[in-house]
Amino acid sequence: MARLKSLTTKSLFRFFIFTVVILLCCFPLLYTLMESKYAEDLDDLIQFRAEEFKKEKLPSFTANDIGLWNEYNEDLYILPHDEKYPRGIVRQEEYFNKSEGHTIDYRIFYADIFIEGEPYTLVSRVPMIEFHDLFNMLLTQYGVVFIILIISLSIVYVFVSKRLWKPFYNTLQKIERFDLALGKEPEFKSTDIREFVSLNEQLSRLIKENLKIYKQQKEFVENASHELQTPLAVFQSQLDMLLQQPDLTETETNIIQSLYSTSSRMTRLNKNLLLLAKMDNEQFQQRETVNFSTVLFDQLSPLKEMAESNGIEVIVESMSPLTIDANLILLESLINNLIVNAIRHNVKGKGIIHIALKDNIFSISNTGQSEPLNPDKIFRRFSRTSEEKKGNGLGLSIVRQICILHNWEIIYEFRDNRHCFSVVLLPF
Amino acid sequence: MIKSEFHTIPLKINNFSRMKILVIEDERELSRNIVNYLSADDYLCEQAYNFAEAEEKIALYDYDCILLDLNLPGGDGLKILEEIKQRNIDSGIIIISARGSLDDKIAGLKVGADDYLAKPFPLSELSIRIYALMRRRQFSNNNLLKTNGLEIDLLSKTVKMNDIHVVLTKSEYDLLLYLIGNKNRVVSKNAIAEHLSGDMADMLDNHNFVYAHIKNLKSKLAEAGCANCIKTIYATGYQWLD
Repeated sequence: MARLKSLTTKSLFRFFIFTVVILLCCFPLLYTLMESKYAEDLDDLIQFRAEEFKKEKLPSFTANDIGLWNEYNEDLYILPHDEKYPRGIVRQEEYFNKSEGHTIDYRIFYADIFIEGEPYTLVSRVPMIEFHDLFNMLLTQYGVVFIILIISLSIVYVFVSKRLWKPFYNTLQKIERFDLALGKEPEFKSTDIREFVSLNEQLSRLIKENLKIYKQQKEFVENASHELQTPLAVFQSQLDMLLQQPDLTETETNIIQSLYSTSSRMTRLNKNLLLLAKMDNEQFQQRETVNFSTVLFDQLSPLKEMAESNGIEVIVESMSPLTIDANLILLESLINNLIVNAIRHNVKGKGIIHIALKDNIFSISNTGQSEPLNPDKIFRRFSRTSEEKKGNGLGLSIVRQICILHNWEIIYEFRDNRHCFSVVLLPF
Repeated sequence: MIKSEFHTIPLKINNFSRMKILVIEDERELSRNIVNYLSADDYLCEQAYNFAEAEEKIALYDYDCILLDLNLPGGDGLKILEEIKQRNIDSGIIIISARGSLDDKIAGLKVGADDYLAKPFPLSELSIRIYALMRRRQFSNNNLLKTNGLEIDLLSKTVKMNDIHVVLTKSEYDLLLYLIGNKNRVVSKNAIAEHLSGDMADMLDNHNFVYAHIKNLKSKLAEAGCANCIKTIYATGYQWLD
């Protein structure tokens, strides 16, 4: 991806390039224009000189005067008549210039004159400005103007654009701070620019609608989960009653057991959904100071037993003392979910779970499938990493959500053939 | 003591004969199942299906224990709880609620409920909660539980068979009490797992550890001379035979 530039920088850069290109394009134009204007002036001059000579000098001019005249007038001299000279127009021709020491361009004008009845050609000429002289002069002038223009325009541009985009940046900042989960609608600063007013209005409308839908959705999940609990309770109580029937056959009992499993899966799913919904609905605001390892061991003991009954060894590696500020229910849920996850996706019979708390990092790693999991997917709700439907796909989303609520960080790594989840806790 | 005009038999720790229970629950099937399940304990159960019925019954009769659903047609169950407390009615109260949120739990316990059970729950768990509540409330001199020659001291948490200690782990002891508390009824493996490992541990489908505990408990009891107290129903349920 290209490096991001700010709006002002980007537009200023474009503006700069554009200005430079225009000014560069204009330079030859200006040069040509200057040159032609200059030539025009010179043309007038040489024609005027020729006319003046004809008017002032010619009437009293004799053929004997020609030699002397030509000697002293380098740029207005008389040649014997020759048809080859183009007359009546000004031309540009190269001549040797004594003072410069090389040939230079001259504007030159030939006129027919008669001295004592004989035809002669009057040559009126003037050296043109040399290319490099004009070029250098123009470049200097142009350069000065160019720099002044660029600097002043840039300053004005930045200033104006900052002022102009101020409401935009204001709005942008408000949206950046906006958090759907917080449910607080941002208040945009009023502005008199029509487009920005419209932008703010549309944004407000979108946000309002989103907030409404988000709230409805959150409430819906919570209500739905609550409503499901009663039929689940009826279902389970019916199963409990069914189990009381005397003389159940093995087949019947197996069906009942399968129904129990289904029932507890539904209950679990519902509980997890409810927990997530409640977290979304900010019902776990209460914080208390807790000793992490105390909570960990409280949760660990029943789970350790279950792990061991599945042939999974639980090794507690190190336990630094750590006091944190947390919601106890959520912290318990986090630890539980991580341990249960490590049991569930472990190798039955010869699995190992390592649990450690080093400084403020709680990590739990387990043996399991030999492929690393997709870290982008595992924390998503209902995303399953394997074909086996072992969990309900909510455990790790709950873990992540709890981490978010506490500003903790959860990291998944696959190293030494072990799946490792680390939680970076904030010490109290 | 219990102020009941219905029964004059004094309550005993290990025999809650003819205790009166009011089941306030609008879901009729659930209510019926609770009553049927509890009937094995020889409780006298009455049912109320809505707010008005519940209010009426509470005003007219005394109960040893009230099972209270919070979401009732016609009113909030918490109001009934407040009323019970205002009238100074000395009943044990267990809230059975679908709301299951901590706030409701705290509110309920604050107003004076003795216990709180979130739906869905195994009937055996409800039974053991009532059992425990009744035992706590009848804080009498008798803390000995006797069944099948087994003598359990509830205060010191020790088990004796023919004056010989049966040494049990904490889980085994809890399991034993759970089975005895639901005696003559079949308790599901799932209910035991949930009871033993707490609220969160039901996340695992695998309940091997229940089987392991049952096996150990059975062999310990058999060693002590109580061989056939626990009946296994195809590894799905377990029953304490009295």
